[in-house]
Amino acid sequence: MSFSAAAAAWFALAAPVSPAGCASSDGIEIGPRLAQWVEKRQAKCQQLRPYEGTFLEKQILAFEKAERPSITRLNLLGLYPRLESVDHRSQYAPGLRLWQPDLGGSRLDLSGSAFWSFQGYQYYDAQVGAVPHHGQAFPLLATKNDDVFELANVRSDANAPYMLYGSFLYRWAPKYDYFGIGPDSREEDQADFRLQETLYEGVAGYRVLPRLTLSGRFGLDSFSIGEGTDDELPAIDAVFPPETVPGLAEQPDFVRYGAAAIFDSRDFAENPHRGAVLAATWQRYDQRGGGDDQSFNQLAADVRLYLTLGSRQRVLALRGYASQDDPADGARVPFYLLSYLGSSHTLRAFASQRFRGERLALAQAEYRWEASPVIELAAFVDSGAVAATRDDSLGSFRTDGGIGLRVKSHEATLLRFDFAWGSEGGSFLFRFSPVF
Amino acid sequence: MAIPMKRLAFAFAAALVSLAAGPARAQKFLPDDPVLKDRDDLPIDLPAEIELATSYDVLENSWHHRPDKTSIPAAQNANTLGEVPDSSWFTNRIGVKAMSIEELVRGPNRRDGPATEQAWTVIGGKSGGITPGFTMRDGRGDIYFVKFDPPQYFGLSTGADVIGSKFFHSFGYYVPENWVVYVEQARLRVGEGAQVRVRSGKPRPMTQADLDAMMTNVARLPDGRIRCVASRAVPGKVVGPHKYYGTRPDDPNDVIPHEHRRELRGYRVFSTWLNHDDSRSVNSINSYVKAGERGYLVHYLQDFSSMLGSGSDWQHRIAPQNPRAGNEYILEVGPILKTALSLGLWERPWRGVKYRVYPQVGGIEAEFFDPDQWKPEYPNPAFERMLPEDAFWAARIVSKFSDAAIQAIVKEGDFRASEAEAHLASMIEKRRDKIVARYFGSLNPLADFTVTTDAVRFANYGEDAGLARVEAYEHEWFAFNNQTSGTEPLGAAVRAPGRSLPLPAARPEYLMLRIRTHAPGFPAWGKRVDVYLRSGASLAIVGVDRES
Repeated sequence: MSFSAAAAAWFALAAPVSPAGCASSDGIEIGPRLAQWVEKRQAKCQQLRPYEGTFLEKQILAFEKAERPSITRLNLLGLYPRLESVDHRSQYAPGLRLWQPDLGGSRLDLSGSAFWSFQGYQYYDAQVGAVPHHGQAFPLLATKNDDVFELANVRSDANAPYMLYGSFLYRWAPKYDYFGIGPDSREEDQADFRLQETLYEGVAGYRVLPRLTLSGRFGLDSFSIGEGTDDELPAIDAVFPPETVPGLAEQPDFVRYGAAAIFDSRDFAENPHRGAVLAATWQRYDQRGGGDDQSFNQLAADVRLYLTLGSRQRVLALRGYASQDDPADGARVPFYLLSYLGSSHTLRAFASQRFRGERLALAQAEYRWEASPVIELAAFVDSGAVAATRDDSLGSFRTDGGIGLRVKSHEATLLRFDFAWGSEGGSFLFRFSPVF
Repeated sequence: MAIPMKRLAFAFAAALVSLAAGPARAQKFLPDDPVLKDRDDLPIDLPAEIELATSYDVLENSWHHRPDKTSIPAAQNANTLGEVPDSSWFTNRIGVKAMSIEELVRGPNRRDGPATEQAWTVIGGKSGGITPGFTMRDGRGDIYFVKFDPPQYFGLSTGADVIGSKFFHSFGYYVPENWVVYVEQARLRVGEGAQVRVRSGKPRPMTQADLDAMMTNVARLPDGRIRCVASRAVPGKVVGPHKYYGTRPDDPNDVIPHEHRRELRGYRVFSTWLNHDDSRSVNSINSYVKAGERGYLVHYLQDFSSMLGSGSDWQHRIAPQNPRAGNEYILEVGPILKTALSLGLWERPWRGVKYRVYPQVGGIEAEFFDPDQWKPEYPNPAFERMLPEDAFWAARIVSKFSDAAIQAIVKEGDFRASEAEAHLASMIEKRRDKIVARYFGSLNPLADFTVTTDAVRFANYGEDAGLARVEAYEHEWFAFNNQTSGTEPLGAAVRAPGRSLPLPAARPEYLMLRIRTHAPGFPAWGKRVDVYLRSGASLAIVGVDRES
């Protein structure tokens, strides 16, 4: 029997028994070579099964088809779950952000946050009005005070050139650190305290030039100090004589107002590769309820420069920050409102709020290089000094250095891992925001 | 347990054919070699629709299905001549028969495109891809997918889509019919039941406002008409894309792993040539075409809007091609490590490439371009298994495109910018020359063997491409034993200057002709090409083996 005859005989037999869904070669002349392939097809008929994606594939497909929104777009009535580090020593705080831009097609925005940390911290804020934002993206969020405050929300690419909004902020921070005031404070004197702050203010601003924004704010700021909740640390008055800690005995309310000028030419505020920021602010804390022993002015300047080194892949980021508090004669700035160094944004190897003083200077330099558009590495140096009062000279500069790994999108730093070393040890930082 | 009679009959039949086929399988050539048409169009039931996740496809192909480069088997669907039989994947066109410029520019189009003098009824908003668009039914009742360019890039993606469909059709692939169309906005109306899905949202009824909003940001002619590409819905029922690895488990006709199909391996050469970095699964569709009561799957390539100089920016908006495209995968560990460990001092070489960018045709270049180094968006399992024989097969097709043919096809992009159009055509021509030089230079580039009464004739693709002048063809005749694959010399090796080598006097059942080409500067042309001839009523070429 020739092969072709055998194949023909086979197909004569095989064709009628083809199960449903299977290839049938009825009426088709097939030679022996082709018969090999057709034979495979007949064999496959016995093993047909629907395509079944893996579990991961199904989940990804569901997101892509928007049966489930992307993680960052998950929300309930405009409330978006988030995880943030909202305050010094708060660690990670789960919470919600509210964002309803351009309500009803108007220029009215509604923004807010509520976070609760596993360390007992609480943070709430709300803004109503024309809040600076770009497109539909969330407005910038800065919950700490180690920036010039306007940098927290002014952006040169905002939809509208003006901003005008009312703001509310409440924080409950039960584990703030206190090491004393001035450059000679000692690490072993670490104590803790609880701070409660409530701030109501109105903010207005206008982008007078494409890169230059002027703004002003006016509000009422209230504070309450109590014992910290860290069982490992003593209370402030157990380590320091109370009379050496201004503001410990009583915490008046303040009328707070100020003005700022910000020039911002960064390409992307949260992932800058080129451009500069020049920011200068003046703030006045006016004590209410009689007395003037805690009123003061605060001047601050923040200069940031981003230089591409021959390629967008290499960036040298430089920052200089200086502030001076100017109390009236005989007055003292409350310790909890003093500028400080030591945080994930300043001296990164030092404890949070490690150095406090009425004068402060900070210099930071980072060499950043992108291994890919989404992975950036960095080597950095931070150096800063404080003076206890405005009349003192800055103490010796404290310096740290380290390396970092960042995960980014094109326009924002999403994750930041920094490992820093300094004279008081090292620290590992994991944050969701750029250092500067 | 009772065994169904049908199963018993099938098993008996299978055993019978195995017995019959046993000895024959040892033969190198079977009576029906070379197979010119694969019957993978045997009727089957309608398979279920498949959806693939784009991101998963990236991950899966970036980390899985990567081959051991030292043990890649030969393509499994090439016939004994090394050619690709016609099938539900591929139809030989310019590779086997000269195509006129008229045929090339007509490409897959078999009609005049959508009727623009009547209303277009929009029946759905487009949700995938980087380009805005919708699905519509024209006045004749035909369904088209319509996409647009942004105002600042007139013709960029729509031109690429049309040009791509013409090239890939002439290569031999199944592609949709595409037209550049200009339509008045007043002709567009939202049909009942049309739905649209905005980003990260669920589908909802489409409104005229949605349509109007979409049309505010599209390229137009000075007279206000909107430019678009209309892609006619392919015949049959679409049941999802195909992967470039494995087979579709519910299609009995699909038995050759896709990564081992020559036309899918060779697809890399075509994509390399035309910078089609978007050559991935999600840009394919399988359609169930009825043939009587039942049908079979036809495998299409689609969406050529992100190729040549057209791509997207970081916000996934249509823009000139990112320089990374074609030069590096989305996820590629090597460059990341090199940059990381060198403190950023090592720079990807492609970053320094200077592109001449035109709004109409984007950015494409040919100087830095290296066919070996070209990469799609992420690894394609079939591309990664491309062997020199696969590449040679595809490069021969590429070489068939004359400058005039390329210019004519590019003209179909209707860019209305002569300098940009000339630049694009020039880049395609230069890239063709590099493709040809690369893949005709790595093996003996002889093909298209024919036999006459007294000689075997052939083409030398390398010499025809101007790579070198041949000094001589060293050739030797053998008697070939089809049962054992043994050979017996029929004389000494001799040299001849021309492409016509005389037949020997002997006429065994099979003859084998071994040819080595001698040309200065091309030692790889000295690799052997074995050509097999079968005696019968007349001599016939039945096989070609190449040393690679």
